[in-house]
Amino acid sequence: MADDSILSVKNVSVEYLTESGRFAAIQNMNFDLGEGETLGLVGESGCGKSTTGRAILQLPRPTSGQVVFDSVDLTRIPQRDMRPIRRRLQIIFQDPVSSLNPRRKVKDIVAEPLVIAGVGTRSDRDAKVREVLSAVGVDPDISMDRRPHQFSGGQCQRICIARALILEPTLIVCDEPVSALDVSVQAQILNLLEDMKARYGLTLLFISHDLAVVKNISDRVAVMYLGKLCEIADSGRIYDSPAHPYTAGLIASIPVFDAGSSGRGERAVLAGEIPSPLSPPSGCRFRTRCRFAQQKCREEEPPLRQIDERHHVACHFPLLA
Amino acid sequence: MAYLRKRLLHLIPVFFLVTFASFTLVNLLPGDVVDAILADDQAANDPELRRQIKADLGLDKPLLVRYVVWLGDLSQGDLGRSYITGKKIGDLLVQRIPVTLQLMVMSLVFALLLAVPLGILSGYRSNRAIDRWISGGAFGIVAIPPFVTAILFIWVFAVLLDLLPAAGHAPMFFGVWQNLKYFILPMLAIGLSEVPIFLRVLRVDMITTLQEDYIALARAKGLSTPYILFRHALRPSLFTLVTVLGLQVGRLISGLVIVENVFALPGIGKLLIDAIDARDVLVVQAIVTFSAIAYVVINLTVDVLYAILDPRVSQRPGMA
Amino acid sequence: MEPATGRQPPLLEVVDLHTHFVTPRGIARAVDGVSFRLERGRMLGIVGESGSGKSVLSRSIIDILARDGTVRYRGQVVFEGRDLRQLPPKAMRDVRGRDIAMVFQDPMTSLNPVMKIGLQLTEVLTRRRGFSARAARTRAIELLNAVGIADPERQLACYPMHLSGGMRQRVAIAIALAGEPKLLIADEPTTALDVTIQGQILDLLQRLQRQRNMAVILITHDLGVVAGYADEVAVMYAGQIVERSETGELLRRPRMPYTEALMKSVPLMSAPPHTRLQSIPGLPPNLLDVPGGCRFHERCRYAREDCSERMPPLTAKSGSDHHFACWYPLAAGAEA
Repeated sequence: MADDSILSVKNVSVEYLTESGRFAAIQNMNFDLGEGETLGLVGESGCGKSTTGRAILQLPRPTSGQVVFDSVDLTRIPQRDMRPIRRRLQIIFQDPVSSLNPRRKVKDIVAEPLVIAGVGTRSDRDAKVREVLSAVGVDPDISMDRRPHQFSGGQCQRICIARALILEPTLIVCDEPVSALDVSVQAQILNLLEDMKARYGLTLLFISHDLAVVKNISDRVAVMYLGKLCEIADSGRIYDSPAHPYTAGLIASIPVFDAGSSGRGERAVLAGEIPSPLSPPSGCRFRTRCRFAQQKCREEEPPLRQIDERHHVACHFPLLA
Repeated sequence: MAYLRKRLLHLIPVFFLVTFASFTLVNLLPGDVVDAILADDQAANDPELRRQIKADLGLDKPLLVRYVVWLGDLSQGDLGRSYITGKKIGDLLVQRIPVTLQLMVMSLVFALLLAVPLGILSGYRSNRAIDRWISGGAFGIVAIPPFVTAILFIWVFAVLLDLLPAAGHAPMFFGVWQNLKYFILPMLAIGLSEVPIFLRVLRVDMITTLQEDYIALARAKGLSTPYILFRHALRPSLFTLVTVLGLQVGRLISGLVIVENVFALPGIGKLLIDAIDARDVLVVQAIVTFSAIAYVVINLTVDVLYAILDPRVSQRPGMA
Repeated sequence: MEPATGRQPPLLEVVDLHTHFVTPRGIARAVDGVSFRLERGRMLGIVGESGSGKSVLSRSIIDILARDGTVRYRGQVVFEGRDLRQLPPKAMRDVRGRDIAMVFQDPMTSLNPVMKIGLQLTEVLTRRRGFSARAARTRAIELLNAVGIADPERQLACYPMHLSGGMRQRVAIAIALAGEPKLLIADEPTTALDVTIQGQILDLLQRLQRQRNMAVILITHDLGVVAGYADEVAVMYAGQIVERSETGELLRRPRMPYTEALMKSVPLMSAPPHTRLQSIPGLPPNLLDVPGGCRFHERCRYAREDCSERMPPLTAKSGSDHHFACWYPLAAGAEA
């Protein structure tokens, strides 16, 4: 664990029992998160990116492995001791409208973490609610006594962010926070997260399926496929010279309209379907869709190994920069 | 069909619970079967005779013992004999059940034949004039209990118009029409009372289904409206209706008791009332047991119907 | 018929189309005066955010909005010279599924969950095109092959739940192709799919469009999708088309400030991390109460006084096919 890491995920697996046996939603996840860093976690549906985010918050507690947050292994402490830690560990979800109780007023929703934590008097709390609401760009005078349905999706996401910020957490797990929003509103929320990060000194784990969004907000990016980490590197690096064929395929699949790129470029679209996570392929899980797959990929699972400073990849035959 | 086996296993405790509960309740009824047997006899006051009769019928033993004996007989297919007539109860049921079953099936079929098209139409044209008329009519019917409609029908069709018999029964060997004409009025009385519920439930599901994308796609395919309504929209809209159908059968059984008595139809409803009058405990017990089993079997059928209606219930894809 | 002047009428011409919904709180102007033309074999991308009216527009063209008495239409939808709005219902049904077909956003909900794939595919053939059951089955297998589904014969007996999202969307496309349509309307066909699958489906649509010389209306919120596939683009805002042009031209030189703002608010793959996005302030207008004048003026950073008073028409400079609705357009030379 590096000196400046605030969170360290070590060999974390989350398994579920299903009718057809045990199924690992994520397997042997390993990564660190430095203080003040934003780590983007990308992948397609069923890759386990949301499960990873929740495993950090012990929702549920991982089947095996360690989650070390601020030198405390969260997987070993009793529920009771988890409470004060939860204040510093918050989560924002994809659907802002359904994650707000429709029957409560905005001021009560935002103040709730304070009430649960037993912080301050009522007027202290009101003042704090005003402060965070203003910070996220929601006018407290207009909004405090209203209920969530009177706000648009973007406004609701701001309110969710205010609720997550009110206890001044250290780390926020953002689980697809802009996926349900329109592009123009998505930009507002992404900018807001950057501002809040600077203002409150936050560390973010940003989970998304959208590579362009992840690139925009992240310092480092981790790519997942079928419950495993494929590649992790600084975001500038991973987009310019991806080493894992899956990362490369994912980047190539994104339709772009950047100036000069209009018209039809030949794009290397990944062939095939995502296999069922219930019965993943042997060896390298990506091999069924990989253009470079060889016999070894079928037989042996590639470990996550370092190929450069701050660049790790799980591939027998990584692409060369 | 592991699912079905599990459901069947659940039925065993249910069976014991229902039969024991009814056994106890029937025995708590005020009055005494001995009074019924001895009717207006002076002998009714003879304590020795009374004890003798009770002993003959096995009524001097404690409730629990009688229940166990009853269960033992039942396991050999013996429901006992009527205290009053001495006839085998099994034979009585075999005579009476077909009548009730025929009435029930006819009523349900009639109710569905009326409710399904009206429900579809009502859902398709929701909040338009036709929907309001149908819904209004349904509310009207709900407000009238079946025995009132029964009496009304007797008055109109039997008394005023003299088209149909007011009461009675003719077995099938008198001819199909002879048999059916005694059933028509009771069928109308019961069936009509079921229509509003079926109709309302189907209407609501239909409105929801019609907003689905696959209905929009069916329209985009250029398919005709009746085809879309019956082939695409009906099946996914039947869930609540099928559930309600199962639950209504319970209510229907109580409705049958009254209607069979009004029309003097010799089904188990009439048998039940006669037996209760006479405190003929074993007959009552047999009917209650039979209805409970019928009720459970029908709801089991409903579960199977779910699987037929929606392949997603029984077959799950690889990924949960 | 027109005399043979060499100029064919366009395949589709929408003229001043309005689709309004009567709601308890007033009239929602979902589509409010939309006009455009589409030639045979071309792909038109319609881009807009939620509530811009793009989906309602697509459903208005083939008239499949729910008939609950709340929809009010005005304007013309001229397909091959006939105004579809004037057609009797029977004739309109012949247009749907044969001349014009549609693919929806979410293949989870657009295929009937309780009907086998086979029937959903063959019913178009047997009921609309007079195929025998046997011929329809053969054709269905051909169609599934054409959209890249392996082992089609076995798939016919499957229910939609047995297929992945991408496979379902392929089936939905096969269904659309069954009528040999001249126009295919695809309403956000890849939004519900994973990125790697999205590319496969868009490539498939483009291949089919070219093979069959089919016109396609591709409705999307994603400018990237439009850029890679559409020949021309129309941008919608609050029920109106605010800019329309050939794709490359529009993306290189947007004239309407909303188009520019939309492009700048999207994170670019080519931009370095932590590039500040230019978000559009405020919210799209409430369709029950649209602002007067230009509908974008409240959020437009170039807006002047008269923008709130007069509604700019969608026009093009002479000799250009680049239409835009703005009193003070961005300079024609400016690169986006």
